[in-house]
Amino acid sequence: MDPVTLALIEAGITALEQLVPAIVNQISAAGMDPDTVASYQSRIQTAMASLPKPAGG
Amino acid sequence: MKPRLRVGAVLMALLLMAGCAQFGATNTTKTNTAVTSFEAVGTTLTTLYNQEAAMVKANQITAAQDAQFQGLYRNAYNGYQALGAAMQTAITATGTNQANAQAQVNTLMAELPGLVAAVSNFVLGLVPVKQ
Repeated sequence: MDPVTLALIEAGITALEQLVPAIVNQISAAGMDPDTVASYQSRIQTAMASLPKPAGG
Repeated sequence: MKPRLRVGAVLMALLLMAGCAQFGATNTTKTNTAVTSFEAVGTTLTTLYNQEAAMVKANQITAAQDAQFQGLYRNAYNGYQALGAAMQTAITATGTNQANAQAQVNTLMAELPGLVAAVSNFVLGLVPVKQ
């Protein structure tokens, strides 16, 4: 495995570390403007759609 | 720290953080962190998927190994999709619905690190890192 790929995996694991406290401590639209909420929705949707589908559909 | 050790550290951190609450950040800040991290985890899974696919193409792994990877990846994929859907609901819901959605997010979030770690450890165990 090349170092660049390894670095990407490392970055993802670090992101996972950040994701835990962020989500455990509530994600909510309270206090956000509608455009911000829509932006987050769009980003989540894009991330979900971008993930390669498993073999076999 | 080596990746596999780091995965273990993530799981340990998860256990500690799951019971704790972090105060002071705004909803926007916390949600932005969550979404950004969610995206990065997706990138990692994609990288792992592509790495394994390249090894299949290069005949570097067996069909049995590929099948094992596909099973692990499918679990992580399904967990990721479920978490994303729950996050979307949690962001827009209010009141009791929001609380229920948040609870679902927390449950799914508790499962995802293990699913990702299974994929990561498997791929990292297939080939040595080039120096």
